[in-house]
Amino acid sequence: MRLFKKKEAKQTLPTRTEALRCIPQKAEAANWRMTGDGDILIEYPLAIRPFFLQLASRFYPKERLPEPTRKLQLDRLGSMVWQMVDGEKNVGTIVTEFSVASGLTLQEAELSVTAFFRQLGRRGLIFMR
Amino acid sequence: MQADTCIAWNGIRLSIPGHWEARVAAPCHLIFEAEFQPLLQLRWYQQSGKAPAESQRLAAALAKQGDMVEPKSAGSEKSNWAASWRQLESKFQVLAFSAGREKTPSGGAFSCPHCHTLFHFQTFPDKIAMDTTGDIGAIGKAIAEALATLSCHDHDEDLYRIQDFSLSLPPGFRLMDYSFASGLTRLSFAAGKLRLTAARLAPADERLKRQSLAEILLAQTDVADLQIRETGEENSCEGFRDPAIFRRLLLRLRRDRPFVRARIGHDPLHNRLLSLILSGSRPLPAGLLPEIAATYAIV
Repeated sequence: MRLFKKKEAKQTLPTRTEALRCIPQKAEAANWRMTGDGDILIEYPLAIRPFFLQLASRFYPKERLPEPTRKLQLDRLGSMVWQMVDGEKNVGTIVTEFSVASGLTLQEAELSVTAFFRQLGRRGLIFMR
Repeated sequence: MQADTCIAWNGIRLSIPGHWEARVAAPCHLIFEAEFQPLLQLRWYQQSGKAPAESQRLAAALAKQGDMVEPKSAGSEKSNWAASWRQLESKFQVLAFSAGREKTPSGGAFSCPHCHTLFHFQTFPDKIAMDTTGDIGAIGKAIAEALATLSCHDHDEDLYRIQDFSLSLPPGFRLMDYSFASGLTRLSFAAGKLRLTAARLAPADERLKRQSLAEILLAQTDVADLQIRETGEENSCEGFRDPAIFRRLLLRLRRDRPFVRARIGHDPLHNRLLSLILSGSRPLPAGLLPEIAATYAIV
């Protein structure tokens, strides 16, 4: 038995109903624009590890430190969902609206939208409240 | 108010209110929900010839549970259950109802006296009533009425009707596997040495922008030497593999089914692609695929 074993923090995951009630909001750092095709192009800052930041600070003055960004081009369906995120509609409402707009069933829409939000959340482009 | 919807899955059929959604949780487990809130879950155990004792054991175990109410009291005039719940007794043998609120049981078990299918259900009307300030009694009544429409035997055809598609199969096909992934629904069936895969792809316009119907069919079947031919109908195509004896032997050695017949159709109205793939180790019955394809549709 380990006496000083690190206690694992209890993780309470939201239930499906709670998750569908969450309101997604676009991150302020995400700059987005609509391309000529009607798709959305998002540009967001790349998170740099402190080690590399420290290394960069040796070569650049503080005010001219590089701020690398990454671009993400959404397809037609992704762009549709992105535009539905207005900071007021909850996930359930977005799923219902997306289902109507795309012609998918409610269950298909739920799977697509939740997977899409998970991807955007991992990149720090949206957060839930 | 939306009209009732017929749900058919793996041997059972029932009618549910139009605004309910049916979800497949397991081959014999359906969850019905409204506004993303579960209302009713239904499990069933079909009695196989070899193990009638198994369902009897399950039935006895369910009836013995502490919070279950005696079945006789559920059906009697003095019972607390709403009249709609007594409709079940005209068709099924009610084993037990568990205590609930406002004349709605929170669960129960009943069996079919003809085919001995055992059903077990659980209700959650209080959750939705809490959220939508709905009436538990009304939701309970809708659940009872849906359960009263349940049927488990004497069906002319083996029907699968859930979400937005309907597929009718000749007798003998068993559900082997299923997947309700986003944009791709797939059901696999087996009948002896025949294998049937039914798939539904959405949205069709997005997929057809990148690939033709024939290319999608080739990708679906994963058979490189599939011969594509026109069906004579607009928005559909067919593929088949009918190898010569030597190739047949080679494919059998690779544990591959040599005979394949596949068909894909585009439903522009609903923006869906519907495909059927029939394969077997022996020559396939000629009329089987067109017969099944005629019943496969978006409803």
